[in-house]
Amino acid sequence: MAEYSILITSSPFQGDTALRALAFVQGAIDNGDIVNNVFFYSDGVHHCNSLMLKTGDELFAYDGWKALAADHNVKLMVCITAAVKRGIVSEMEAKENGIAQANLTAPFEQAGLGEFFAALHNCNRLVQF
Amino acid sequence: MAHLLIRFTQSPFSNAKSQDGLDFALAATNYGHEVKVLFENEGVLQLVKAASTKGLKNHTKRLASMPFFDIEECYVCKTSAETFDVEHVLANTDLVEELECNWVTSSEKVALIQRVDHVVTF
Repeated sequence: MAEYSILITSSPFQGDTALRALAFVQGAIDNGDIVNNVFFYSDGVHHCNSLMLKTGDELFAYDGWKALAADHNVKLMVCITAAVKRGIVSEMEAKENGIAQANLTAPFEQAGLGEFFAALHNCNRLVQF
Repeated sequence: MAHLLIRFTQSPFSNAKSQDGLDFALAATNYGHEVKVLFENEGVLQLVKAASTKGLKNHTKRLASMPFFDIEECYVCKTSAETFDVEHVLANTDLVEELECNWVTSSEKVALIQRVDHVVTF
């Protein structure tokens, strides 16, 4: 049995990457493998913006991540440094900085690269999208 | 402990990937992982010495700090350097010397990838 860490560095708008990432995570779980965490880093943090709206018949990856967390308890970690500079802020940062609206909500949780690398010690596979 | 190969494939100032990639590499060794870096495609341009510009982080200086974070193994793709015609520029760059970069061919790159646990591309 494999234990995966999934690293997302591409934005939700980059071709079919989000589609493949979601399918991969679902596939790993269906296969009986463990997905230790999904870590959103670099432009990947745009996945965690709760203010996005669904458009037409396109994949809405945000709902896909939420479903993975709800159905399979997949841990969704967002790099806080990469997120805040791209305007993805939690309730706390919004309040502290006088921003009207927070757009990072559960099940997404803030983390640092440290948490990602600490978890990597327990994973034998790292897959990047 | 995992052995990571981090590929730098983007030019230094075209997007945020070069900066994010370097932050990623520097953090990895802090948490007990072993890191090798490979400059590939437009990533070889990161090794061309850039002057400081106000408001931009000096990428040259930040790359030069890698040995202090125990990143000792640096590789440069020979073919990419030829493609961008920077072979001679790089051969005379302090940064390449400071990082003790090794030049690698395509087959050596494959061997390098096979030697590590994980590959991450920026």
